[in-house]
Amino acid sequence: MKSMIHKTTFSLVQPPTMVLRLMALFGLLAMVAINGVYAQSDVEKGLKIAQMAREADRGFGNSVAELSMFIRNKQGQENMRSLRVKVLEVSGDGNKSLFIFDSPKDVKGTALLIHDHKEVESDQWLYLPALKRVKRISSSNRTGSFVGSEFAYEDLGSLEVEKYTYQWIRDEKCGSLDCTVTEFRPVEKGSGYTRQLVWHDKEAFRVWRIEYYDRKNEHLKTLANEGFEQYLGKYWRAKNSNMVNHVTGKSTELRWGEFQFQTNLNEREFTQTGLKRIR
Amino acid sequence: MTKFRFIIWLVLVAISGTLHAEEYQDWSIETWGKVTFDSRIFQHDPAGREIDQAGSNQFSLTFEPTVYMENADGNSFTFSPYVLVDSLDNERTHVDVREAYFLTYGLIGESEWELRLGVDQVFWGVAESSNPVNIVNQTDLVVHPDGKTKLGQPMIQGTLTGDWGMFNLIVMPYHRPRTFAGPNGRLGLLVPVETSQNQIEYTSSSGRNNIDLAARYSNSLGSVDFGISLFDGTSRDPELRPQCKESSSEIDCITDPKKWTSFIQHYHLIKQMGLDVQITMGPFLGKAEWITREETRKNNNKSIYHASVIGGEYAIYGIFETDADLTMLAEWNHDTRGPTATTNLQNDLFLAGRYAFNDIMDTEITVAIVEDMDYSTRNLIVEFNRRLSDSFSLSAEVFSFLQEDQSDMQSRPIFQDEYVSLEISYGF
Repeated sequence: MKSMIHKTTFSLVQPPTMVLRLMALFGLLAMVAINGVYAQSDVEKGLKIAQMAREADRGFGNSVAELSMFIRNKQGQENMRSLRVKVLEVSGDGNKSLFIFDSPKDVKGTALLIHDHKEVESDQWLYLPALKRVKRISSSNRTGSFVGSEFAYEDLGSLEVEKYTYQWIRDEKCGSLDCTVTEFRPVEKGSGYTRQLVWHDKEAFRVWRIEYYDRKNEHLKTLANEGFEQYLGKYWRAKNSNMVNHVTGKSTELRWGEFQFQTNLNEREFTQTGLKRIR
Repeated sequence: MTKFRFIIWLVLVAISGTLHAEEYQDWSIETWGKVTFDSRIFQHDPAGREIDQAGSNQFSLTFEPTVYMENADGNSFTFSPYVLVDSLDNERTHVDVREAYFLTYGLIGESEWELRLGVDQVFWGVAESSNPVNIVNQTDLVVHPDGKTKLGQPMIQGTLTGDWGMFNLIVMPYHRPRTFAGPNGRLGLLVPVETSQNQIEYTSSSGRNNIDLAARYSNSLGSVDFGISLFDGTSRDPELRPQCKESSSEIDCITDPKKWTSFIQHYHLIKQMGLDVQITMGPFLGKAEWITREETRKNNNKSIYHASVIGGEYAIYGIFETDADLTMLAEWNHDTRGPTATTNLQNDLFLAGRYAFNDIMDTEITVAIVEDMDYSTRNLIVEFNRRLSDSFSLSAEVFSFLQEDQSDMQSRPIFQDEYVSLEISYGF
């Protein structure tokens, strides 16, 4: 059995973006100013940012991309995994995703199918090619490491607005862009974090940086995204994501290949029958 | 080599079909596979057999390549031969076609149809210690005593998948007999099993060419995954009848194992209904499989029996504040035939713990105990797996009996076959 990909909650759908809907934000800010309740305004502003970010990614249909994952320890030793990631957007529910492993060789052809949901835990099936077996697996391991990397399963979960409560913290420059810093607090119990600080740019709501604070509220990890590319004139995807664990000194870098959007992928690829066809 | 004639024919049909259907240039070809070196060190000499000390070390080399061809429409052809060369056992040295099938699929209304033609492997079931509902493929028992490795099965398989679930229909025109260790091998029975095709007896008048049918409906409803299956055809489990020295009478032969020289495999006709269910609730998985089987023998004698496995597993994630997971498994296997069952899991409790380190090398240790509830036999299995590099991985195993009940005729033949094995695989 390959514990490597035993459990997951993912949809490496990256923090979304879109043409800025400044009008809406300005409208909200105006309302807030009239109310004059600052704490409340920060909560609403945070929620609005999360909604805008989610909205920016709607309508992509489906995507296919290759992913290389570099796992590095403190001494700089490196391990690589390569996989293919297919995502199908589902209207009214979480996305469906497929992760197909190409290397290391002992897990070649192993595939993970996830049906994400907005409110309840995701459904997950694992295909083990040596046994031709599809296994329904538990999706409770949200805090666990994904295939030995610094990414926990919950870090990779699709950004459903319902999963967190929000508070705007401040605005600041990130590189040449204007960013907002928002605090995300998980709604469900069982998260490994008390909170996350998320940097979105104001132009397209791309996520540039996330700081993760563990259950003791200590700064555990930082994610930095870079090399954003736009597809179909709308959808932004980072080429590189680097997650650094400040406690262990380990890090994991994701390098994405070219994304293809709105391919001929359909719902039938994301079933158990489809899973068994994967090579 | 008549036993491969049908398979080869199917392969050729599938290949020619594939090549005729489309322009050859449109097909992309990919190959991958695995080479495994395995060494087993046995603690004792085999029971009642004359093998010198050298027979206690068994080495084998396995080659499992796959050639995969696919065109833009998603039609594909998969070919996976299997070669095992063993240092001791001529029966364990064998060649098989694990897969050689053409696959095509498309939409029919809101549903999807899929057709697979050729030699294929189909797994049904949910449990870990045994899978009574898993009937399509024959067990390749010489590979490993856990019986999880299967022989390729020639078949025509159709699948319909929709929002209403999945329906699978399989027609199998050719029976594959089980593999058994030879006289010089280990992990065999009290006496060797005759494996040449003309020594195998079938209840069906068509012999191995009986047309077997299998069907399964399955669905996932929230946290419940279930399957209902039917099978009508020749059993995969042989009845083993002892052959004796010519001097002994028939009664003497059946009752006195000392007079046995070999076993003959008899494959009866069966009708089987199976049910498998898994409930997934957070870190707990509840699992059950159950079959009821009607067996028809040559004299038209019918008998009915049931077999089941029920249990579950519970995982503790991030145990001891580490990245590791501990999964505990408990499953109870039962077969109403009791001591005459063709399995040694006739009334056995399987208890196991799996510790997965979740490190980059995927290190994992599993410790399992199989406790016989009818006899005092207690079997211990320890497995260790770890990746060594991108291409190499290592696995080690201990197979041992903590308690041996000499009246347990189902496990007794392998009491002398306790071993430690070390396996190194190279993937390409």
